[in-house]
Amino acid sequence: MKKLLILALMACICLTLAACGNKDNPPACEHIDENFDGVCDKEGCGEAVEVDVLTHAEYMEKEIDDLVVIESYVQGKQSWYEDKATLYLQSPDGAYFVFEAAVSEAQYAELEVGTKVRVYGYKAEWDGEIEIVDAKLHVLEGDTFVAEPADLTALLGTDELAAHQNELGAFVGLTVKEIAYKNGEPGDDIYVTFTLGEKDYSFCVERYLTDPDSEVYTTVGTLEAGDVVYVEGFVYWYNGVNTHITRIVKMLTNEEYDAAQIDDAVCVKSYVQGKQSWWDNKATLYLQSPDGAYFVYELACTEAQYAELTVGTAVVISGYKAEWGGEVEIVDGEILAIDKDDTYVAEAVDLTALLGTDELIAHQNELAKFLGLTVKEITYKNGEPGDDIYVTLTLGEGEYSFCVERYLTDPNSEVYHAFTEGLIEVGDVVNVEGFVYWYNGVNTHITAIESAAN
Amino acid sequence: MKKISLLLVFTLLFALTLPALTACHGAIGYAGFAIPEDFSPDEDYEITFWAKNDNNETQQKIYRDTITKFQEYYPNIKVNLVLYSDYRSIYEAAITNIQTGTTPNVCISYPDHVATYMSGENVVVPLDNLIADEKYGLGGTEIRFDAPTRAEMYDKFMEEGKIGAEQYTIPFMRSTEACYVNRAMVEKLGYTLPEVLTWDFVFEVSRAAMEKNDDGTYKLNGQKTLLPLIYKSTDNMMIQMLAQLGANYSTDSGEVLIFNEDTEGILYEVAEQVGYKAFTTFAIDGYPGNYFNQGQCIFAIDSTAGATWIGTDAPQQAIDKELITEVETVVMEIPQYNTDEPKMISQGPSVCLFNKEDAGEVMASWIFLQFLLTDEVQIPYSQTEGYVPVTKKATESAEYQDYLSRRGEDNNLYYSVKIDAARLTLDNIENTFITPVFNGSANVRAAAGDLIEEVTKAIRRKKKVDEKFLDSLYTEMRRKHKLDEISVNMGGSVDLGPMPKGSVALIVGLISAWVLIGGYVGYKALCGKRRK
Repeated sequence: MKKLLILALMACICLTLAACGNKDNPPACEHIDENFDGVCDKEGCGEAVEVDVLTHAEYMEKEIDDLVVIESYVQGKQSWYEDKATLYLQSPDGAYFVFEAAVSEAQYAELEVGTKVRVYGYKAEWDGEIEIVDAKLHVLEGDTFVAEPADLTALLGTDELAAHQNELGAFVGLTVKEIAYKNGEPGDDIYVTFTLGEKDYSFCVERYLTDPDSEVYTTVGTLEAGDVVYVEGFVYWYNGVNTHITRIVKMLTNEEYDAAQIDDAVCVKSYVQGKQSWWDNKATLYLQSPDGAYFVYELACTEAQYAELTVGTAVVISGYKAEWGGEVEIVDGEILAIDKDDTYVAEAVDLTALLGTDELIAHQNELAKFLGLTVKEITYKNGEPGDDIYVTLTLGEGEYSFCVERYLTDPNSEVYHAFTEGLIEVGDVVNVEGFVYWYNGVNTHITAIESAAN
Repeated sequence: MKKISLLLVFTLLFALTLPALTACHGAIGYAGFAIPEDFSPDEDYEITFWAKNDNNETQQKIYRDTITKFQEYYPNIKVNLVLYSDYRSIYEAAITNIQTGTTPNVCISYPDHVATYMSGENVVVPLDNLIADEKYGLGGTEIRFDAPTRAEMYDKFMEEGKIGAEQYTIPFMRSTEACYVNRAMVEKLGYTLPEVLTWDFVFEVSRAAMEKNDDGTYKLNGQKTLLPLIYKSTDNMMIQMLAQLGANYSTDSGEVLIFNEDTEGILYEVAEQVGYKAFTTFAIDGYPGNYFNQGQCIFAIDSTAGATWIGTDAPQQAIDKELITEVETVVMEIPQYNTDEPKMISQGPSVCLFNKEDAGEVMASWIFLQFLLTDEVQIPYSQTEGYVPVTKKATESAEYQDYLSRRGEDNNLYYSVKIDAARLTLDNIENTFITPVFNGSANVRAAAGDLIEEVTKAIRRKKKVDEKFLDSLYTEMRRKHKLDEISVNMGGSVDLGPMPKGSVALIVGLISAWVLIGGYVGYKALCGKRRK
């Protein structure tokens, strides 16, 4: 009896394999039917066929025109019209472009960035863009994924970039070469040519993906040739890479930053010089570049990012310029990119001669040194060691407030110990190094102190 | 066999302890506190008192003197003082220490915070029985110093310490908010100060102040900076505006009702004023007092406790002397929507007791807490800032009345603005209110302030504040402050997120210690076997 059963099962399997063809001859029986939910077994659709969901690698190995089934997460909604939706999808293992899938208006409205979907369709290629066409789509409840833009700047101009097709990518430090509106005026796509090194790259503001009212569309309209920008977008292909821009931010030089108004959106690239604090996913940092310095207050920053931000590391941040008690700072900021291969460590510059002058403010937040000052007073916040130490130093007739900021230099730090262990006392003549912080006047945060006699 | 039993005992202990150590807040619980029959204050006790001061040396000295004086009455009760510079630090440290069973005995706290501490079982001691105890209750027969009786406490302030039906905190100091007004500036603009400020008035005057000269300076002060209306605590601003309108905020049981039409109206009003640059906040631009003292602000709304920082002759200044201008400072109630029924927040530190295994230790803590309510502590501490004592015993005393009557005699103890601010609080005790306290009420308060801050920032950053913006803002506030996780019941809990690192480290340390102890016993047991 058992043998008979096994024979019957084997016969069924053989019949199934024969009916569905092989790799060289695409299966005639499995197809997407507009009137059927899923993959059909034959014309006119009898029953659904179970088809394996492909990984991204398996999808990439499929031939053009193969039927494909993938599961991924919506990252960008490009367009919907006449029950057809065009979408960018991305999973942790790769990305997809779905062109004109059958999606009702109600279903399209339900799709949010991060929504998981199953797509049944056919693999296609159009001017280099690998996509899924003639597709149907199911929303899968529960699981969500929102892709973080990956820094692909280094891959521009290389063949490796094609492996990231349709992913959300970031490109740092591109220079605007040309901005051209399709049809010559705003309303349709914007073609943007960027330069990096010696090469030019074509990007596009796709008016269906990001319409003329969108922030990216209006921002591009304000850019000029020569501006250096940070760009995010989907790595679309159109006879070569032609990223669809979803975000663009002008990166300011220190001079431009100085000229910006309080409350203006700002974006700068600079280098970490001091890490004051991290808590609740917020970091407070001192940054400095050869052209100037920045104080960044409570920047959105994961603990892992904070660990990456070692002294000297390049970081691109965006936020808003603010002023608090005279201290000019960047608030409500976010990290756009971290480049550990690009480093700069500032040398403390002797600003002793500027103490008491208006010129000192031009050096706000820089790492500086002040030589030959006399300790007049040492006061512990709360009356005892543990919190900030307020230090009054004199030079000639002038009296200046300095601070050992307990988050920047905690009670176990060398500079803190210098005070608690009595190495520095009232009357001592000292050399001080620190960040030129401002709090209702200059209030340098001391990072190092030593007796001038040493 | 004995060693194997020991191993089993330790393993069992470890297994039993692990969940208690690793569970979320308030996991280490005690039996409910009961007043011990055999309590003797002559036994030796060592307790810890966590207090807050804002780099105020006088306050630090008062705390230390308080302990010295207390120990003259109770030499067997040793009190260790730990000072924190802000309430948030105390709150975070308390949360950390609740997890590890290392809370202080007496702790200065806000009732909102205490409601969160109570998410652990019997973590905080209910005080009703203690207050009423004949021997050791408030002003009890066995108390060795002159403590206030229950009747000598302000009922209004005591009510604020109730969570549910039970008293969990005792007020320590009280204040409200005041509007510090530069009278000359108001009059220069052609206005006369009314008896009670209204929101319409302060907004109108603030808008009128924005006229500039050709050189970019403001006509009103001739300076390039003028922030006519600065609010220090925008959570209070929203809470008080809603209360004055009789609008919803939250219920006693923890229902969050803040996202309503009245809130929307307030936010649009704020947006409009920010559009004129006629309103800003401490979080965005800095301390109101610093601008006020430089003649760059007409209306500075701040705590009455902050009065020592406000005015030309303020004893505490955060700016260089040469920047200070001559200002006639008028201390007024905060602006109102309905001047016939003024409403203002009651605020200030309270004190709670943390439970301990030794009920005698709790009793010792309770006696020390009472000492904080004596005139010896209440009067000098209140005089350090614009606070008022929380006992009628203190406020009605000849010493305190003398203090009030000597307004302006000097710019330190008798600083006029400080005494005006204290009087404002005393004159308005019946007009003060508090918001409901429950586990999560601190989150609602934070959201209230954030609504105003975010709208202010949005307008300044040239964004449109409309229905769509507010919808999105409300969603973000619900997410950020976990408002949808607040249980609508007393005793419910809100997940406060991952444990602080200190707690984790301590717990890992404790677990490691148990593992090592267990390992050692196991090792010894095995060694014994081998030797056999």
